[in-house]
Amino acid sequence: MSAERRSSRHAVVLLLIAQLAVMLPLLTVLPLWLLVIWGAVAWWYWKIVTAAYAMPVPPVKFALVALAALGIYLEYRQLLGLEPMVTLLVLAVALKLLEMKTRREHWLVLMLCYFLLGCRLLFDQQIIDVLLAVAQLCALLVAQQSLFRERNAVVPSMRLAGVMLAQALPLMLFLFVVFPRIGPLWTMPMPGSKAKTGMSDELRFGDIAELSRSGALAFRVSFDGPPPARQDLYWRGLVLEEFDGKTWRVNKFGRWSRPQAPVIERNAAREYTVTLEPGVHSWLYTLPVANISRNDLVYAGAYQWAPKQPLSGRLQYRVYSNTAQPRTEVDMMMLRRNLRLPEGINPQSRALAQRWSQQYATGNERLNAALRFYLQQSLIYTLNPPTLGEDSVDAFLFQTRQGFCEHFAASFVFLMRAAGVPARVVVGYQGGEYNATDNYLLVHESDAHAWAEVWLEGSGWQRVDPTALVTPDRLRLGAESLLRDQQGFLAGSPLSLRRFAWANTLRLYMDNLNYAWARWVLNYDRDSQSLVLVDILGLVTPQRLIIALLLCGGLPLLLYAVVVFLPGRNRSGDLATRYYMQACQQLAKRGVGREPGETPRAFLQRVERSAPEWAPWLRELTQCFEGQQYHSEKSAEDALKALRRLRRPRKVASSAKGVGKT
Amino acid sequence: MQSEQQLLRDVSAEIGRIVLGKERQVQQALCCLLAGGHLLIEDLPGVGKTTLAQTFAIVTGLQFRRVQFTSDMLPADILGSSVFDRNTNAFHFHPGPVFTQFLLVDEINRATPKTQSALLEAMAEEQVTIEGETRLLPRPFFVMATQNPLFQSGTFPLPESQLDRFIMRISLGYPDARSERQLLEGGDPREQMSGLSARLSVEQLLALRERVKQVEVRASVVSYIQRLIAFTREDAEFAFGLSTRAALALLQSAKAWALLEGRDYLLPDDVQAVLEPVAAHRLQSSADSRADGRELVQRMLAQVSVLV
Repeated sequence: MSAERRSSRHAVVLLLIAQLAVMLPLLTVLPLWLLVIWGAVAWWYWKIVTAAYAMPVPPVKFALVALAALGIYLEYRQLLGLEPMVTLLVLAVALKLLEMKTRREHWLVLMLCYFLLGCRLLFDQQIIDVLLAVAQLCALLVAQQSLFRERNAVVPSMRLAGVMLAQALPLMLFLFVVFPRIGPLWTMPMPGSKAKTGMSDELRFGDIAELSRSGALAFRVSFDGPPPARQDLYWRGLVLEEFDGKTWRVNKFGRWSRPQAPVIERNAAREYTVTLEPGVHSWLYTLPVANISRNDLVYAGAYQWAPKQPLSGRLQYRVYSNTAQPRTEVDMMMLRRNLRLPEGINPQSRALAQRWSQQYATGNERLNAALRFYLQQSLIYTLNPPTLGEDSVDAFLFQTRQGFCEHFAASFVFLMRAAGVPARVVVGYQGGEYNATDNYLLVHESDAHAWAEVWLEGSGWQRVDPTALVTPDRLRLGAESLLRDQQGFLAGSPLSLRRFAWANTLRLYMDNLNYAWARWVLNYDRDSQSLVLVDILGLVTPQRLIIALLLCGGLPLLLYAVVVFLPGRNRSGDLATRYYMQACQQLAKRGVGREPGETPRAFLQRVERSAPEWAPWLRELTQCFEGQQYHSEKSAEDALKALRRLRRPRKVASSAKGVGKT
Repeated sequence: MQSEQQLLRDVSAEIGRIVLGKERQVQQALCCLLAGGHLLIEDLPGVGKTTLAQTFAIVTGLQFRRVQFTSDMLPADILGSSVFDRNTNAFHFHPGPVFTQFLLVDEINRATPKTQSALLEAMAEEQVTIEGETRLLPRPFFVMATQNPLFQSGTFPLPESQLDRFIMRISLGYPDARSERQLLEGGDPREQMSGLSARLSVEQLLALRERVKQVEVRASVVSYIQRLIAFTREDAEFAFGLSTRAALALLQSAKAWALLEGRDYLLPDDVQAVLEPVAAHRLQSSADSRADGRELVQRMLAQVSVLV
């Protein structure tokens, strides 16, 4: 193995370690058989390196590539998609080992490893993933250095890798803050296997409570004028009309009937922009009655809006809303649908509702009866309601009496339907965190909410929020403040007080950390960037941007250039020469300067004649330097160390062994 | 390494017995021989050019021929010619003086350019083509040419392209007083030459040349050579820069010098030592400067930094 063209075994081992380090975290999203393949290829490559096997011939390589492609197809049944593509890349990086002959290719594989490292961040960007990426970077940097180091020194390599990372950090932060957030150039298929938090198109008891635990941002809304009052912020997502006794579902056929979008009186309308956080979006959130004029977003009936095809990434749309407009969209099918209940469940509730329907003639009266019932029933709003049995509405209303918003809404709708009043469940978000300085609203997943809608003859669909009836704070303070109280309440359970107290604190702390990460890092988008820039610059104009860039980027570079190109202080690219020249400069300060055209040996001879007190030291230095620079006999690294040690002039030689040899 | 150095020291000491006080020039000539190039000695008549050459030839043990160039000389006088043999009715080739291992060309600039170029071609290619037939010259083939300074009358100065073929040009100069006195007291040096003996065989010489090729050259010295060459091409004092052949000659001579110094690796000191003999005769100052080749070389040595 010639030293020039092929990499040392040490470098090979480090490359394999680096590959493994990059691949292992990817296996949380990619199939496990990749590890087996990588192991086999690495073993094969090791055999090639130790000259036991030859490099595979082209037909074998083609067969391997074909097998890899087949494996991917069998795993995913498709090739287009994020996971198959990353799998393909991992396989390519692994198989490249089998034709890695030159240092250049070694270098290439290392670079591909960096790319894979970046690919991992397509799937997850939590703090833990970033810390992992830093560790992987260290491994890669060590492997990269092994290509150039003569000695197999892992510890100095690690140290250098750390230094390099630390040096890159300010640049990284700078770029993070100012680098333009360019919108996606193409739509990337989102990772599919991972369940995203967010609304689903069906509702079981406990779903929204689950969603409320997430601190993630759902969307932002910026209003053109003043925002509506908090209790009016019912962000309508989707309407659930089908109930099978356990689960509430969207009416699948609503969308196919191509309903006519409601006409909004523009003068009375409120105008605002909604920006959904990245994710897969199957429906949109609006304040009814709303209208969106965009070709790829369509009206889905029941005052719902949805994209034609599920859209991924960040989605922004403009909405016109008139919350005062009566909701009168109705047809016979719809009314019949919204009265339908499965037979034979929740007999207690059904009996109650039938009493109402006999007692009161109009829907309005029945509704008031139900509202009175909810107020009298002393129901408790809690994030962690007890599990309910088969007849869940009965269990909630008459036994446990503890529930989250979906319990309230769903049971209310059940009662209303049983009492002969058309009713349906609406799911969406309620409220939001208002940012007064910039006039926009942050709506988090924890603001997820469910409420009821009732059809009243004469006035159309009316929103009824039984949750708000029972806990008016839900509207006044938002879910978060209530939620916090809930957790405090739960921690008070007597048996496991101490054991859970610290765990809870830790969890809360981690939650906070993740929340901060999400808020400040992951959600740092074009908007927040421009906000930051406004904070720094006051007013973002091209001139100011250019000046800021010049100050931050140009000035340091200019200083660096001055330091580097200042005459007399030119720094050599070669480390040994730099040490030697530094020593000569030090000696020049003490009165003995080397001419540029003077060779080290000629300089030594002159010093021996004119300033013999420096001669022993300079002799040692010169021998060291000549040995390192012009002669390969000595170990270059040892000589470098010695040169480093000898940089300061002394009047006595540091060791006796260097002296001699005329 | 030791034996080679001993051998080379022995050779120069033996030459030094006759050529007094010219140690440096002897070293330079030896360097030229080891580097596989040809040597041009430029000096006034009578300062020992021929003595140096003859002593050199004897001590190095090479087959020696001498040609005195005159203005009526023809190429055939050096290369040889075919002569009709009446007995065999055929042409027989009579090799000229060039077919030798060590050729001393006296006063090369007295011959016409035609003759000069015939010799110089032989030097460059180590073979001659006479009447359509190519004949190889013996190996080693070493030419030592002398020339009188150009201001002397009756000379045809060698053009730059032909000067370039000599790897080195040296001059002897007047001997110092002590050596001259020693010489005057010692009697006729020509007589003393009979006491000389060959200290080097052809095999040894070829082996030494092999050793020169193996001298280790690190990138930093190569870049120093490149900087030197680049300086002549960029600096305003120079009429024109040094050629790539000059750079090669510099590297080759420096390697031989390193071997003479007893080292198997090249130092910038070696390059500096051979720079003047290698570069001075190839350089010309630009019109607005009156520096001669030696001053230009001094300028190169002073201004081009050894370390970067």
